Amino acid sequence: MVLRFNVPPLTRGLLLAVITFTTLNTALGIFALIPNQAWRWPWTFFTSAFVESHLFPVVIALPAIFFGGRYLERAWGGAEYAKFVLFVTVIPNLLSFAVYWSWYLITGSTAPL
Amino acid sequence: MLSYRETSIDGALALEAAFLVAFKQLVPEHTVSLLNSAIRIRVKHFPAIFVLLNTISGPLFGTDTALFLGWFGFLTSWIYLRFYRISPTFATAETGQGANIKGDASDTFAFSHFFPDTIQAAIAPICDKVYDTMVAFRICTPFTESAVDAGNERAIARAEGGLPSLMDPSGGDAKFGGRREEAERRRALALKALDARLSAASANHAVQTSIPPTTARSDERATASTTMPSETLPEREAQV
Repeated sequence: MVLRFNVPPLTRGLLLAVITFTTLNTALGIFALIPNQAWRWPWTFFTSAFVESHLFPVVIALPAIFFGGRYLERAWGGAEYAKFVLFVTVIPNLLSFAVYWSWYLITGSTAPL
Repeated sequence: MLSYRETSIDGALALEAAFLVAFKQLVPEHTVSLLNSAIRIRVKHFPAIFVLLNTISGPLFGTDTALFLGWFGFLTSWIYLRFYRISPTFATAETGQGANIKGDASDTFAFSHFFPDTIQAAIAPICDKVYDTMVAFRICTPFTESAVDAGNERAIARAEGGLPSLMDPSGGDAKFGGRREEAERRRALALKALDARLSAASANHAVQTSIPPTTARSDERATASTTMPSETLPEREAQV
């Protein structure tokens, strides 16, 4: 396969992750972070960042990772870039998880915002 | 309608927000033109715009997960880059050769600098208060003067590197923020390798020279080295 664009390895991996996890999640539903399922599927704290539930966010995420990820991976080097990606995917997911659980426990409601 | 604990928290929103913060650090003054230059936005304003749009769209369109992920991604990324990320640097008078910098203490990477210039002055005192409180509670260690100087120096060095080209890193101007970072990183790696080789060579040398002395003498040296303060050791060894 001829790759027209020169993409560094981790960025390529992240692009594939978006496509793979989004597709698999539509079929299996075990890659998105759902607060009351997270204890069964702990990997969702990471993989959820690469699952999109609609087409529009996919159209945003792929170019964002392609241009942004490629730039940062080259600027920082693979190890630093990997660390950064790990932090900014897992930590926000953990925090959101905490917010949604607290909301549920406090209100128990199903209303949006 | 799903309850909160059944909401699917998904999407690369946090990652996208974090990328924008990283670009703000690397190429803050670069201008991006959209729609045939109808809209021109500087990179340093992207994180705030992104978070603001997600904040508005949360209650409006019910994309509340995007709201939280956007905010948390933005904050996580900034806190990591500002206070924790360890990066190699050029040798400067401030830090010495091959030193590492922890975080980015530069003035332009302060929290208030994410906001438009007009409201920065209003926000800065509040940020300072928060920072002082956190320092008082020992949640974060205050930046030293030299760390701020080193951070500013780096920020200037990045800016002097010339205009960046985000969309085409392989072409265009060779010297820009990202390239500069990359060059810096490679230089640090080379220095480290050189240092390792030099210390390996001198260790070899030390082993060879320590064999000749008699056992009595080396005993004397051993006791001396345990009792004497370490600063005086090199002198003594030089005499021996």
